[in-house]
Amino acid sequence: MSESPNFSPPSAAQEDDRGRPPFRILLVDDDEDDYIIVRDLLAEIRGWKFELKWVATYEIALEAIQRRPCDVCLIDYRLGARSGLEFLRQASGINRRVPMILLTGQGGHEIDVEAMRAGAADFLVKGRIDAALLERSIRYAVERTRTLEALQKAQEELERRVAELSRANETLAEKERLLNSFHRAAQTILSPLDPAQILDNLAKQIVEAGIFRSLMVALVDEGAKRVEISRGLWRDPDGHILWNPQQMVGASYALEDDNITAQVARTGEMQVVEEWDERFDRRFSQPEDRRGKVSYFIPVKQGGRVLAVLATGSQVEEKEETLRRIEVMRPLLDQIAIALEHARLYREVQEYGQQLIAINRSLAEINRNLEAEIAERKQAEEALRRAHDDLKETNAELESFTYSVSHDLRAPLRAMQGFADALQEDYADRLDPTGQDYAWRIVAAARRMDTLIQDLLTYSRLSRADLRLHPISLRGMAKDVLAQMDEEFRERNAQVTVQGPLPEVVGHRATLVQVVMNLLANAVKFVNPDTPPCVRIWAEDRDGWVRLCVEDNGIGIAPEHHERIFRVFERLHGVETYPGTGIGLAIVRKGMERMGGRVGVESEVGRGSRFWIELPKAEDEP
Amino acid sequence: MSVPHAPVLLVEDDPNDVLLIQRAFRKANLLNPVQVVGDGEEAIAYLSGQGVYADRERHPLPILILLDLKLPRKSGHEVLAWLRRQPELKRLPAVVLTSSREAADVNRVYDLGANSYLVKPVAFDDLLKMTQTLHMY
Repeated sequence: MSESPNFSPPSAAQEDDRGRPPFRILLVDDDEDDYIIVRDLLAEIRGWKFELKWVATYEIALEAIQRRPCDVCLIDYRLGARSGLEFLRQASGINRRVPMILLTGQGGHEIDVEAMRAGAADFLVKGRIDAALLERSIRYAVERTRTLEALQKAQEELERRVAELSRANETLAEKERLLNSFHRAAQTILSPLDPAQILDNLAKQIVEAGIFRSLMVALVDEGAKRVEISRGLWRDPDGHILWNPQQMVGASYALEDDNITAQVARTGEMQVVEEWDERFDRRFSQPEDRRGKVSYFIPVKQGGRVLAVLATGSQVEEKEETLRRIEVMRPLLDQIAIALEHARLYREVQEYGQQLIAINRSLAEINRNLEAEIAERKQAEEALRRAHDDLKETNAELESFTYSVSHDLRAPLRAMQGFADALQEDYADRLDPTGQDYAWRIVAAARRMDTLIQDLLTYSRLSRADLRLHPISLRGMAKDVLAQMDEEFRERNAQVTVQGPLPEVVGHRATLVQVVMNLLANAVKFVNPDTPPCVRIWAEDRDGWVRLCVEDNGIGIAPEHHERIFRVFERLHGVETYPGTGIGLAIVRKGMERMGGRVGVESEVGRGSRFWIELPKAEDEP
Repeated sequence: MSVPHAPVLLVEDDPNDVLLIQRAFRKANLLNPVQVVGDGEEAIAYLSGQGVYADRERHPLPILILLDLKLPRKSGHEVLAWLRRQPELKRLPAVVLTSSREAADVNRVYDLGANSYLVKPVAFDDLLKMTQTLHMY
């Protein structure tokens, strides 16, 4: 006898304490003898308290089962007209929880099987029943029934669970379907770079996929601080898509406006509104339209900024579902926000690109202008070069003209000098002193004329010359000049000394030689007749310039004449006193000018003169 | 001068200059006869023995040429250039008569192929010095 956890017969000791109701047995048998047997057998069974009820017909039995359930039912198989099997079936139909034990006669195997099929828990063969068997059978039947019951319950539970799972599965499947549509939507939505198109695709995909029945899209213009409805879609019950219902597209609101879309755009908080709200735009909906409906306003945000607002609607019953769908859509909205941001950045980049192109274009134009300027300048340079060449040519012509002229002017002078000399030398004995004197004067005049012409030639050449400047060693130049003038110095008994080092300067050697020779010639000429000329030459460093000084012990020059003496043909003395052409110092000044230097004088009458010239110091050779 | 009577060819157009040079020769005691031609073409004719100068008895080849640069018809430069191209004559000493001592002019003279120069008016001692120098060649 197996003990089932739900069914433990109380022991004799417990029976009294527990006070459990007795085990109720219903006997369905038309034979009283059977009843007595059963009753007696039951009494023999220890440990159980039984309550035995005897009914004789199936009908009463069925009633009894209905009204007052028993714990076990013993049924005679052959009962009157009706078969026990039928009763079994009926009883099972009424109350399946009652274990039923069939009492059979000499039953065969088929009957048993049938009986079991009909719902009997066990069967007993009359005449072969003893207490133990009965007890066992009852116990078994009860257990079996209870087990079956438990099994049934378990089965039901399982089915319930399966149904639940299948519902859950369905929900999942739908969610997957949604996600898939989102995925597909996302791909087409996110690929374009135009924000309007992104939102367009979004709206279309969402509405076409039936995720929402309608969708309104509003774009935020951060610069203008406005939000503008850019798309509206609505799917009617037949599945047709309506674009721009109620002509919403184009409506725009300032972010500060008291409009629901503007508010959501401003705050970045989603709003779910049942039925009508004052913040709705009366152009697009009236309170009547919104009865029984819910409106949802969803911000699309990126990095704390609201880029767009989506709006949709549903029936009140669908609110839960719609909210769920909105939640599912959140990742997609994030993606869309990113895509919108990208689109914005892309647009910015494009704008920069445009700006760059514009700048490039201006640069190209500036370039063109520059090139034109350069071309102009080149032309100007060309003109200048040509003018320069012309000038050089003219200069050359003038040079040769001057040369020829002076050459031809000097030829007669040569003749005068030559023959006067010849006269003096060859006819000295036939010329009286006066004649000698006359001859001498002719020579002197001719010589003066010659010098004058030479000086004029030099001066004119200086004015026109294109002096190419170069470094000159003053020391070397001084040496050459002194050597060249040595004869004249000796004639005049002049002492000319160079004091200290003479640095290198930048100038034109031939011109500088001429200048220095002129200064020295003057220095040794303009002295008191009985004074031997004493000339000092030295150089001073003057901040990038070299000042060459020629100081003499001559007659000096009054300050009021310091400027005049440098002019052409200006002389302070008669020809008899101190000969000269009056061009010497003009040549000095012109020469210094042409070399980019200067000339000056410090002098007073009776105190000698210090003439100075300045030239740029030559850079030290690396 | 190795040959006392060999002439000197003076190419000079200015009669005054000619006179003075002749005087210089006298004063220097140079006995060489001075043959005078007045322009560049005549000089070339003389040296090449053309025309009347073909008579080398009367117009022998000179041992020295005194050459002014500024000449009618052909200039002194051209005569000099021509002279230096003649195989037989190119070693003939040529002294240029210049009116200036300017360095540029002097350098030019040597570039032309002259042997020396004398500054006009020619002082007789300059002339003497020059002939002595040439004699040493």
